[in-house]
Amino acid sequence: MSKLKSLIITLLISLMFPINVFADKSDDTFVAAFSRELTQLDYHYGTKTEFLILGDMIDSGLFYVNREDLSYVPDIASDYKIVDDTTIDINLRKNAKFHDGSNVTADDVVYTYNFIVKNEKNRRSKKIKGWMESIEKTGKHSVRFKSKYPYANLFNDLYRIKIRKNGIMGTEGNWNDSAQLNELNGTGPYKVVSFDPGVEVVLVRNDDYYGGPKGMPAIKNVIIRSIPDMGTQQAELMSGGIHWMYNVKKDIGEAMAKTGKADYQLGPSLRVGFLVLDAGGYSGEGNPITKLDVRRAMNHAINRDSIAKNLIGGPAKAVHTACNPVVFGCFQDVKKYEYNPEGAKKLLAKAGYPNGFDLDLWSYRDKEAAQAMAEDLGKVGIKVNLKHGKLSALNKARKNREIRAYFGTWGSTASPDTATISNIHWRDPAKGDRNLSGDPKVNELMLGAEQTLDVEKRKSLYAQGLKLIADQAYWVPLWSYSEGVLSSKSIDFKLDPDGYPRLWNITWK
Amino acid sequence: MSDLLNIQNLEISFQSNNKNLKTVENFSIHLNEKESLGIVGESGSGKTLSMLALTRLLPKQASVSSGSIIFQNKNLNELDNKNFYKEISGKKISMIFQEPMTALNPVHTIGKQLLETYLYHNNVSVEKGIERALEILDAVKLPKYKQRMDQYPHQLSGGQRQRVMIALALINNPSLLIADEPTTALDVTVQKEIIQLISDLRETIGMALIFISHDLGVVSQISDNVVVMKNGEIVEKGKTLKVLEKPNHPYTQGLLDCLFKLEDEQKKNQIKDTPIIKVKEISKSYKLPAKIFKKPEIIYAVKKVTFDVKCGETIAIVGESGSGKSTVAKIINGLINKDDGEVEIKGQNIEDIEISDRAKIIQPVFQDPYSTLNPIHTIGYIVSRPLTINENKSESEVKEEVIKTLRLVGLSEDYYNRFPNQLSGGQRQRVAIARAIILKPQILICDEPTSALDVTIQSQILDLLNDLKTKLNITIILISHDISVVKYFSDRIIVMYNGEIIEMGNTNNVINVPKDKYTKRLMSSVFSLKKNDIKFT
Amino acid sequence: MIFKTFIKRLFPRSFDNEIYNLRPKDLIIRKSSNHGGFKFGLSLLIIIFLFAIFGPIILDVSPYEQDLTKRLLPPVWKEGGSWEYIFGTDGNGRDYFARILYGTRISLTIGFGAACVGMIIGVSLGVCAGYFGGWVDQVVSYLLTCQLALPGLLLAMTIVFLIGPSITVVIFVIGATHWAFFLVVSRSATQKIKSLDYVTAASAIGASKFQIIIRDIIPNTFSQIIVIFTLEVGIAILNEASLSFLGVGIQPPTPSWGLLIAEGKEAIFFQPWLIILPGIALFTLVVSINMMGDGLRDITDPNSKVSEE
Repeated sequence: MSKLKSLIITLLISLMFPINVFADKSDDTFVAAFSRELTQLDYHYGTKTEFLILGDMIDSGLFYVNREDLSYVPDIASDYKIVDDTTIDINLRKNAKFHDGSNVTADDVVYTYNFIVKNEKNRRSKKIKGWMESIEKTGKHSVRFKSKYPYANLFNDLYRIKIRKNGIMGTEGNWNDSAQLNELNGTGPYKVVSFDPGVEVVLVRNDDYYGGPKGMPAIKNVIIRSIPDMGTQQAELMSGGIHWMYNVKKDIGEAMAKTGKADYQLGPSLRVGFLVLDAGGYSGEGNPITKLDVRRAMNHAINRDSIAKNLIGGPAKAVHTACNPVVFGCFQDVKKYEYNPEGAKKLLAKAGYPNGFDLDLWSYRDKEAAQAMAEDLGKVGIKVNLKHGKLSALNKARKNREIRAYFGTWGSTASPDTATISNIHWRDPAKGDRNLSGDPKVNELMLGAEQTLDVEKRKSLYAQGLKLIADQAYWVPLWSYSEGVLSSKSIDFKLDPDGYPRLWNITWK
Repeated sequence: MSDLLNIQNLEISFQSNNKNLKTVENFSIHLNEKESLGIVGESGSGKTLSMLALTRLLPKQASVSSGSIIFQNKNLNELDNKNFYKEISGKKISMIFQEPMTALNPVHTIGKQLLETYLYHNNVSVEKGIERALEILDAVKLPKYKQRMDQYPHQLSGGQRQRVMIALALINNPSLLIADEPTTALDVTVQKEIIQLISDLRETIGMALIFISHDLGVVSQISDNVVVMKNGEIVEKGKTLKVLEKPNHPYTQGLLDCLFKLEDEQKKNQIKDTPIIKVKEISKSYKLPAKIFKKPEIIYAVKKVTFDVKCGETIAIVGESGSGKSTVAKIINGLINKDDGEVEIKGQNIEDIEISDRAKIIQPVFQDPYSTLNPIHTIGYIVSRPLTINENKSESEVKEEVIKTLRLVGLSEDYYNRFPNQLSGGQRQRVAIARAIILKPQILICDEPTSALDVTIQSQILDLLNDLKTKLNITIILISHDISVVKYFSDRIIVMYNGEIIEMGNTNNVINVPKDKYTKRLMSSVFSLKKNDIKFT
Repeated sequence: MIFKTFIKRLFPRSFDNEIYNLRPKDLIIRKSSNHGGFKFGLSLLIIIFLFAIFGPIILDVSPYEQDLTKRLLPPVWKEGGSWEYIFGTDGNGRDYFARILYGTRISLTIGFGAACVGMIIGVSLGVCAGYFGGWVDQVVSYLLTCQLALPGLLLAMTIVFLIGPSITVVIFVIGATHWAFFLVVSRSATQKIKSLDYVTAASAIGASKFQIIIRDIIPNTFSQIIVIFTLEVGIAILNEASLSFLGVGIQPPTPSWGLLIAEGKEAIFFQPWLIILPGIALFTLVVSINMMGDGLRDITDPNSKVSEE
């Protein structure tokens, strides 16, 4: 081939691939990689942790979770007053501005919450509608909330709902769900410069930011890229294409740190793992899982400590409750099932399964842990057929009541209260498909605990509920996770005690 | 006449894994200008190989290991390949081959191929080349030759293609033409015309001719001298007339015997008057599938054919390719469905006869010994199959019967466990006959049973069939294009042309006193050697 | 060579006689003993087969037993490796050598199984189409066109996803999407053979159509079918690896090589042997099968000459 031809071909090929900008400290650009794709910008329409991280960068709620002690502090709100069990008055700060320059007023707040409640398509609607009675404007910069009952996890919801400009999502009966999906007029410390769904979002510091508990970010430009393949992320980090990646497993993180190219932090996380068991017989009456001894046997069969230590590493350790021990209300004095395969076998025999039985175990993440558990169960006679697939497949199967046992986790991101995990997992079966216990008492106790503001009453209800769950082995609680983050040597990033990455706090070294 | 070609002690060997096999030895011939020489031999005798050595067309594994070739007083061995192909091949020495179907390049027009040959050897303009091409096409008597220049080989018939090949060979006015079985693949009537053409052209151009054939009759018509080859060696040579009259070598004598035998009258069977087969107005046509821009064509293979076959008689159906004789045979055998008409066998309509019953009454023998036996079955299995399908005999009974039948066709017990590829052509045909007669059928349909065999083997098979005919009293329908075989073998002849019966009658009458014009033409095309009276055209 | 002497001992009759006097079987044996590629492929394949069948029995290693304290150990030739785990361990602490060894069974089973399924479907359809012609041929040609138009891997993925993955399902799905070659070859071979005299003779002696197909036609297509068969085995093995890699084939913990590659994908930088070793295994198996298939094609070619020795 002639030289000219090969030159032309090289040029053409190189034009096909987007040129990688090696951004770094010199142009004050920080590049982070997310595994799961950012398909849109509006936090109200997504549930993944990635959306919350992004949401916190470009949006703000009335409150915020303080990174040091995980307490709730006012954000858009300036201060508040608890009038009574079901009423709260909130004053707004006067200097909060939207990215388009307009000031945040009570009208915006009222509009936002009404929109959330009345529009059924957004993902927060059910939860807020569950407790919110009304919201009214009490002044140019003040509002009053009324709840249907004393709602314990109020501040978490006031943190999660991000304030939208009055009218931007349409009007009642004519909602515009896609209004903020690809562009966002938020109130957060960063503004959106450009967004390529599923590929990357480019942010620039909001120089008109009011400050607030998040503080002014140090880095001017931020690019968040969606890179689903872990191997590619590693390659990018090594070559300087990205500065930060998270959800990094122990093996990879430690190996990378050894090369000296990055720092690895494996810190605590609020996420817990568990096996949900179909005690209520939804997948088939009289199936082995409906028997208490069988469920207890499964609890004894799994070697949680080994898996937590060897597969996850860091501060991960076995848990015996249906919640993370560090959060409020997670009562620890419950029945504990030690690792005891022989005992498990005996229980199975007692239940009428001396030779074990076949079990379809569904899972969608942590394949190695899933296989390890399958192996453990196999050792006591439960022949596991591991159905490892996508989360959407599992959700669908669970909705169709096909699942007898599944391996799930719950992040409880930035919400150190048992209510976050128990609300969704112990709801009335008519309102959700995650409660497979078949025991109405559990629902009564666990959800009752968030319907009062009395701290002691809450603790007592949770204690009873968790004791019941452990006693009846509705779940097999597994372990708390660790959060692994790899960051390049040029940035200074500290993992917070809840494992929630607050990217707006990063600085250059 | 001066010397043209002198080949001395030519030896050709085949390379085969460090072994050298001599396939042709001591081959010496001499040819004067304008002389013609015939090389006669059966398959494997080396007749073609020796001429391929002369034209440097030997296959890769073969090579000339010794001997000299002197052409026009020049030693050809001294010429390198480049000069040979430029000076000699195609220019002074030309060759034509057997298969007209594959001898021409299908993607080039006739004109282009002629031009290419002519322009390669002669430094002239294209116009001159075209002129010469037209001239030579006219000389080979190709009808409508002006249009043919732009046509492709597939648009010509076999005989026409052969004429074109001759034109290609002669366009450069060679001094020597080598013809390797040029008419074997052609119909009898066309054969005669081509031979005549070559003979005439030889006179006009004044060139020497080497004519290779297995057919003594053809060779005797066209060559002054003859050379007989067997197993790679020349066993006899001399003037044609002398050799045919008084052959020296027993092999030559054997060849002649085989031919002359067919002249003798031989004992006829007892023929009963009752017809065992009645064929009434049968017709068969084939529809060619309709193509875009072409109307569906119908080919009438058999048109309203009617005849009877008497019990114990041997009837021959004679005709050229496309006459419909094989189709008629297959219809009578029940292997093809007819469109119209009736076939009755022993009084029963053939459609009413059960297949297994039919198998016991009428059986075929085919032409090609190499495709008539399934290569993966043993001989024993092949011959025993008719029994196992149609009769309920025990294994040992079947084996006994098979061995008996094999002996009947002249094969020993040893052949029971052999495979077809271990047998020669003649032996395979014997097996085919054994398979056909083991059910003791009353009718045998032999479709060109010996055409693919060498002359000596041919006569053996014909003897065998004769033998079986008398022993088992079988009625035989023989299909052949070889008039001498037909004359030797059959009581009556049916002549077919274009799907219809042209003439029918006693063998002697039809052959000696043909009534129809076509029959006359057919009979006169046969080159026959009468024992005491060698005919030349 | 050793091979030659071995074969000569096993099949003495193949080397006794002159070529023209050999039975067809002996001819083939003689030809194959001279074909380098065939010998190499066959030897390698036999070694792999022996490994697959006897390896798990002789060697006492388990591909399923997990030891979470011994995860991601390097192979013996790397720093930190030991002879206890020749190929190291995977992310669950399972012996990688055992996983690859047992994976051989999976690949061979699925490869040959799927090729058999494809062969049965393709040859049946092809022989019927070639022998009966007419509307049968039209219908079969239509089916063939449909099959060729469907994207094979996508279709396989969908079906496995719907029915549920298991070895049997994978075998049938791969087989059911790979019969086109068989059909085309057997159909044209049948058409050729149908016109030969011995087939006509068979119907003359009273053999039924079924008998003719079974006894005369199909046995004479063997040489061509067997070549396609060997090539399809290689294709099926790679297909299964693809399906398992994508998660719609063999399910964990069964050690299919494709699955091993998928599981080791993340660790490509620091534990590359997790991908390289099953990759080499796949490559070796498919190469040996392909060389054997190529050799078979040369050997059964009716125009190839046997050399005497």
